[in-house]
Amino acid sequence: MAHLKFDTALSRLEATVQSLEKGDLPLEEALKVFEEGVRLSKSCLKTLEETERKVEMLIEGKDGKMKRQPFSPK
Amino acid sequence: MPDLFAALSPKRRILRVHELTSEIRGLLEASFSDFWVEGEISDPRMPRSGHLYFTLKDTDAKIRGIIFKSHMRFLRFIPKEGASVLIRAHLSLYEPRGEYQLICDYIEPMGAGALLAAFEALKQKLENAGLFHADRKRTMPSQASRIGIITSPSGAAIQDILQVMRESRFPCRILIYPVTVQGRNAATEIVHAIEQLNSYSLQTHGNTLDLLILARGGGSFEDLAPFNEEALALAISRSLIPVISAVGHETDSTISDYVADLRAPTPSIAASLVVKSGMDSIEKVLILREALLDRMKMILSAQRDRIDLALRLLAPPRRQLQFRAEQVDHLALRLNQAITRVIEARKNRFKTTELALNHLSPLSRLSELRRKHENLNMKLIQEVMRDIERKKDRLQATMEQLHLLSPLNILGRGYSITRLLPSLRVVRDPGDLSKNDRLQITLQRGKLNCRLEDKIVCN
Repeated sequence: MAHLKFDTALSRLEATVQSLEKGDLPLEEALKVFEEGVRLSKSCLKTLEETERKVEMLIEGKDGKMKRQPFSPK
Repeated sequence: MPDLFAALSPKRRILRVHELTSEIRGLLEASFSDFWVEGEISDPRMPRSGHLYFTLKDTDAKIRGIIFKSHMRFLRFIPKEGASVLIRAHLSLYEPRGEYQLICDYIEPMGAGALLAAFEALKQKLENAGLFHADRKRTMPSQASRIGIITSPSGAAIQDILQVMRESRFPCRILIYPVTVQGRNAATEIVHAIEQLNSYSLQTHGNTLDLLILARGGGSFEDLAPFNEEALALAISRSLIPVISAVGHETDSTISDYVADLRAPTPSIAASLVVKSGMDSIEKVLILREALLDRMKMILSAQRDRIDLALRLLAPPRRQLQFRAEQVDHLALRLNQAITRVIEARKNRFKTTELALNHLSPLSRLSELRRKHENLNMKLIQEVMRDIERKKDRLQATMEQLHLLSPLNILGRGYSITRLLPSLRVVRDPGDLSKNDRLQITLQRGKLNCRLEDKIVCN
């Protein structure tokens, strides 16, 4: 769940809503699907909330290793 | 005169043909190692070897040239008869035939719109190779929170992008890979940047990039040349991360625009697209979550309705149940009464039977035996009593006989018994007595207490 890609989570969320909309699920199943949907929507919004706004620059060092450094526009 | 010649050149240097040729070749190659030349293609031929032979000429001169097979694949176009071309080449000499020739490293069409023609040619080539095909392109992530941007760190493009991002307050991490976006090395640098960002994204877990933006501000067609290079087109198509090409102004279009997974007219529009897609997808999540909640509420309320309905349907049976319960109570009462009656009847019958049975019962026989036994006892007692009476009678008779012999009877005849007091010893010899001894004399009808006065002893 932690590394579920946004789009994967989103399409699964859509699927849960669709299967609830069909309305032919027994209550027990419907509750399961609902819980899954809530979980997925949380995971979708989590990536959003957790992404910290940052601008960095990737620099290739002389040893060939890549390093990040803060970007300050000139 | 030989001697004169000998004096002029004391040591003759005589070259073999191949030595001469080799030296000429050395001079040629050193002097003409890299140059550009323009001219018209004449008599192009491609034999089985796969090399392309041609003659480059203008009105006054011509020179032979060759494009090696190994170089053919880097060409944007195959030169045709009469085409005006610009060639980058070096000179060499083909020794077996003593012919110098152009070794072509790069060739492009000359004249008006030559670059455009080359562009069109490459575009056609790549299109034929399927690089622009929608099926090949990666889908854009609907929410890109980690974005790699390949651009000049000092250019206008990055400023435009950052400004859009800042204003939108869209939460994302931006990783800039600095490159030069103009000039001879630009394409190579950009290719390298794409490769580096891809491997960086693969290596560093948690730093996976969702998207690459290839950005450059506007410029002349020549300025944008790096973005029209085939090597860059191939690098974009190889990228694992989806690529947005945002090069130049709205009117500019580059090969990289065609190959990229998404073309943005300008860098700021690229940023706006990313932001809009991100915002839209968040909105979508929120809408879906809303729909999820609504739907669940509906399902629950439908369930509640069903339960209510079931309860209403259940109500009449409840009353029925009460009625039934009363019925059951009534029946139970009746049953109880019936049972009691049965029991009573049974009891009565039992009593009758008992009476009837009594005659046959061992109990009645026992009491009979008991009565017999009592009778017998009584007889026994009477018998014993009679026996006792008889014995009493016999005792009486015996006692009467005995009475005849008793001393008391003798006393009746006038005899008496003298006893010494106080010992009551019967006195038989007067010698045993002394004067004044106290004596008791028993007579038939009483006793005499006396004192001895005198004694007469008989011998």
